[in-house]
Amino acid sequence: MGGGGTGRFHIWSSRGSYKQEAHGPGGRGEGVTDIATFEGLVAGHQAEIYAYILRMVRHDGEAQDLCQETFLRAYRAFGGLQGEPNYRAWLYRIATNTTLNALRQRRSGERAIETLAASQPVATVDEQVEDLERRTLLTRIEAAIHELPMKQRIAFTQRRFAGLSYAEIAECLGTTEEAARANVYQAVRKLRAQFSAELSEVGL
Amino acid sequence: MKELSCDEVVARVPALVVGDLDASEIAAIEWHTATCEECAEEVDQGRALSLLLDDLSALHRTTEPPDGILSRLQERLRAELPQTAAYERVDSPLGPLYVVATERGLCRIAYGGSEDDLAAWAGKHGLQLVHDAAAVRPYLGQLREYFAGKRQQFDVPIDLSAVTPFTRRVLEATATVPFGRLITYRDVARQIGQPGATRAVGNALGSNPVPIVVPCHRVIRSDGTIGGYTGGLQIKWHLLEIEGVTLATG
Repeated sequence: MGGGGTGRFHIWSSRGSYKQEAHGPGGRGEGVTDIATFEGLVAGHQAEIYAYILRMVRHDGEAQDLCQETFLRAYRAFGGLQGEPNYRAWLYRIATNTTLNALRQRRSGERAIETLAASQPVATVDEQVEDLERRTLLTRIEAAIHELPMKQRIAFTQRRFAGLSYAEIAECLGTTEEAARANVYQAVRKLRAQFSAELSEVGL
Repeated sequence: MKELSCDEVVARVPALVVGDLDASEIAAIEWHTATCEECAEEVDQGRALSLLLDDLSALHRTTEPPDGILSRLQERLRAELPQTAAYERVDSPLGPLYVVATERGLCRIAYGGSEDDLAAWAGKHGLQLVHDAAAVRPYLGQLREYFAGKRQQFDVPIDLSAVTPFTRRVLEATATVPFGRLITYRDVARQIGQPGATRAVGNALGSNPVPIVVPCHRVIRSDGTIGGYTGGLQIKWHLLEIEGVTLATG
């Protein structure tokens, strides 16, 4: 623990940059029905949408299918969009619905799929992290996020990893900003409590 | 600086972890934890968690979706896109014609009518009309040569994707009838292996989207009379005349 004074500010401000990375031709409102613009939307956001879905389902094959399904649905709805919508939040909303549907079907399906999911290594935390201990911890945290109640999981993932605003998360979940915020904070409290010992050990 | 109580500090840890606090709020927490060991412990755990989450975030951000996604998506999107069809209106010896082509080939020759009629037809077949004389030029060229008596056979791609399978077979059989020759509805029915379908053949030819090029004007009744023609019998006579065919009046 410990860690020195000024470094702290650095840490907290470091994640602000993610949001600014939101890119793509998001803001354009006119003449959006041509495929070139939609392709721009896909090219600009497919990586983060894929990552988001992957976090939600933790299975790369399924994440690919759902990612494609998400953009297909987005395409079908694209022509009917009015004004200058928040394309990025809109994509997250579609991705969330698509993923929830799939998860619901999976649940009503059988255990078999559950077993399949469990047997799949989490694709993201692998050799990229050299420190074995840290890698193990990251994998466990990722699994713990996955175990959160669905609303907390969605809200937390959208806030902490995608940098969506509470207003955007609330819209996605069909709830209020306060409720969205409460879901995120509750998720954080749970994670901190669950890994309390490890967090004290790991140091900064 | 606003002084925070221990409870307030602890309550702010989640906000700290997800990056909801501004610099002054963070400073207030720093101020408190500098002298409060218990809260420092909580806050440091939060910081540690946040660092781990940063790691997870960074990992995911470098997770590129497999190459296939975008290209497969594009394929599926293209299949859903309304295809564009280029059209041009021209005057011909038969009166005004609309000539329409997709990138796959000639898909429509319409005798007269209005642009609205044409748009309605296009909409029904999922085509988006674009006025584009250049795209239609090769088709017009061959039609002009035909009207001038300088061409006996068309050599253009034809897009029959808008017609039903039966009609397509009828049109394909009809397309083999050479310039200046006649065939009967019954012959066509036989040729497609449905000898009893004479009437259906007549109907199918009546919906020929590309008259002239698919020469339904060369199909007549078994009794030697001229039969029908969607654009009007006058046109059928005219086309046969171009091809040097004479018929007993029908």
